[in-house]
Amino acid sequence: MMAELSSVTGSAARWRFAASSARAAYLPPADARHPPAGYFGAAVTVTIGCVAAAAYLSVAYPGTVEVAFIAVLVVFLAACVSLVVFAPPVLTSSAMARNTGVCLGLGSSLGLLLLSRSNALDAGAMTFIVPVQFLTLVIAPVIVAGIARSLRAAVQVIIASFVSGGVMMLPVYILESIRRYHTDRGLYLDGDAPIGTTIETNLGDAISWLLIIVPSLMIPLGIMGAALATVVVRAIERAVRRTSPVVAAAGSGGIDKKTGS
Amino acid sequence: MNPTIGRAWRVTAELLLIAITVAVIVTGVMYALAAPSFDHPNHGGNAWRNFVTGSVVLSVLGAGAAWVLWLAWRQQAALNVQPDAPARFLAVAVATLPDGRRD
Repeated sequence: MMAELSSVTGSAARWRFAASSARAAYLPPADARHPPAGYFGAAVTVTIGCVAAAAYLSVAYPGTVEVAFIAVLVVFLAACVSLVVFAPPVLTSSAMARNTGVCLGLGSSLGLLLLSRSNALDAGAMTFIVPVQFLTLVIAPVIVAGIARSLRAAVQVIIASFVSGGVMMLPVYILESIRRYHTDRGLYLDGDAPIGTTIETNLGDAISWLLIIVPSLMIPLGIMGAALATVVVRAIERAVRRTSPVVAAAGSGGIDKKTGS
Repeated sequence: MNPTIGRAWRVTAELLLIAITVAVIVTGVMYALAAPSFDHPNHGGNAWRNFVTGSVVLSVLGAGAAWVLWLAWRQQAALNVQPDAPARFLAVAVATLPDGRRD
């Protein structure tokens, strides 16, 4: 594309060519970006799960589901499904990253459910959510960045972990917070039972802490950590190659010299 | 203008724009979350403090992460050696493609 652009003259023609090529780069033909069938099925299933949990809540506890909650849920689910179905190439280039993220999300959801059912979260779900999101949104991307020597792969892990973890933990959080509320009228988030706590308070916690506040802290840390890991691993690789000609000869076949990745 | 100084100005402007955009988005979301508690008789002060602290911390972290991503992206796109704006625009788009599909 860049080579073709260099042969186009005239500002307007160059802009037209650049715009049409950029559109082709960001949004390739639909048949070139079909998601794997398993991912599509999983996306539909968890979306139905989230909607069913919210619908159950609005039927069983009329008046507790606010418009803001429904709006955030709809936007989040629409973003998740569109990421799975219409993901641009920049988000789907590493199958390892995507699989890692989805597995971490599934593990987070199952962990929350099992620990909650075994009464290990009496101190509140926050004792699980913060460490697990640190693991999935910071530690795992840093490891993947180190292994793949690629910041892009790490970002894909972060997005896949956030989307799959959020969409699978949300229904668990909603249903378990209802159970907790009926047990001791407490908050599922931190185990406290302040005066005036309602089901609605638990819902607000689910949205704000699970989908907004904790990820807002962890995702930037994950990106900066992954960038650092990429730089360090590449520097070590260059140093090893300089000091050992044998390793350099063996390694030169696997490294793209143009991109360094 | 000296090309090096021009490039420095362009990078500075890009980073400033990113920081302002992130700060506006973060502050807006934090305000939407915290605003209902501002008038609370007991927790109003805490809500304001949380809003200010959260906005500052998340804006700084978010801007830092966005800068890292943008600098990696513009390095991959080799923006400094592109001749004009259409070429820079296309280079940014092409840099998002996997290595095997850039042609």
